[in-house]
Amino acid sequence: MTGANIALSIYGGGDVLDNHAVPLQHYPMTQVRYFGPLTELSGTDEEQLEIAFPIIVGELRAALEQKHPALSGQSFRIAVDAVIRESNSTITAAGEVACLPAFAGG
Amino acid sequence: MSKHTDELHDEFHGERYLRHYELLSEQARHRLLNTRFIVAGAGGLGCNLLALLVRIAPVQLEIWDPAVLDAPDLNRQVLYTPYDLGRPKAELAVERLAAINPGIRAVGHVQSLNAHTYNELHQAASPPTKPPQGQPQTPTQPTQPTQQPYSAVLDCLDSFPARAGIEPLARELGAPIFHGGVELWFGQTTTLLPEFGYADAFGPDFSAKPPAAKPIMPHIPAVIASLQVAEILSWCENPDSTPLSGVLCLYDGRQHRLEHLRWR
Repeated sequence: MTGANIALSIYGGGDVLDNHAVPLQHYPMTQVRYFGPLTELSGTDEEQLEIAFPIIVGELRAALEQKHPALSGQSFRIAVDAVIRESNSTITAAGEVACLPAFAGG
Repeated sequence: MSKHTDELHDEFHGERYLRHYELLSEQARHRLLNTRFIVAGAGGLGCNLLALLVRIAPVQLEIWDPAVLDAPDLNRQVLYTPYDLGRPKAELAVERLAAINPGIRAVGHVQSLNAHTYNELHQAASPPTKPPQGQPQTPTQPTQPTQQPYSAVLDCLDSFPARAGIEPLARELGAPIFHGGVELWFGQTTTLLPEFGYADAFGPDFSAKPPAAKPIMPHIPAVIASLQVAEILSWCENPDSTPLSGVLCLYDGRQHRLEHLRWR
């Protein structure tokens, strides 16, 4: 992970997963939702996380994979406030983050 | 309008369309009759989508599917029965759809659809013919589709590599793709108008997405196919914009939730 500014912590706990170079401050809570098989892999439909903005989508994804290792290697995209974002785009704020797998079958 | 389409237009006034005819604008009716619907896949999505579409109008269909019917298909592929096992689905679908609406013009191709197979077949094909006057067609032998001014590609495929194969064809035809995808308890649909491709909706690596998990609940393709039909009707009303052009609609069949996420 290249992120020098990622603070992804569990709601209410201050259990910072990756806090290198993060100043001691609080960020607004962001709702993170998981769809399809990602709910089982993450163990939850949704959770509240403290995310340090701005953050690049790819870094956010890496942090989520660090929190939920079963997500690693899974194919999914990330939507921010109901808009699907490219992995190299920067998020400056988010009320809701959604992790979206694609369903291939017919 | 061609003479053929005039006849279809007259037929479209028939009693069997009475319950919904007035709900469609003249523009939508015109487009329904003048579009060649190129259907990629006659499986769970294809069966459900087509069973609805042929009830709406005497549409023109090309149905492409290389597979034969297997027993596990019977949980969701609503056009088929156990007596059909081992038969090509593209042929079965044409038979069953013609029985539902003998007014359709349909042909089945027991092949995968892509730009190469489509062009090879259409360049080799002789001009389409109509049955001689006074010789009614049987429900299981619909006439061939004729050349139509509009085309639409209905994505009822079961893998992303296969979808990568139909995108160049849609681009060549200037046709929208009505996408559906299903797996487990979940499904998604979106509409790719001609200026967009799968990479816009699913990311640049879309063709490398893993194959679908085998389990699938039977109602999931029914829901997604219904949404695809709704999109087709929206496109017939307004080909420049539909509710799901640029929007991915996700369905969670356990929570009964529909989510809409913009991809442009």
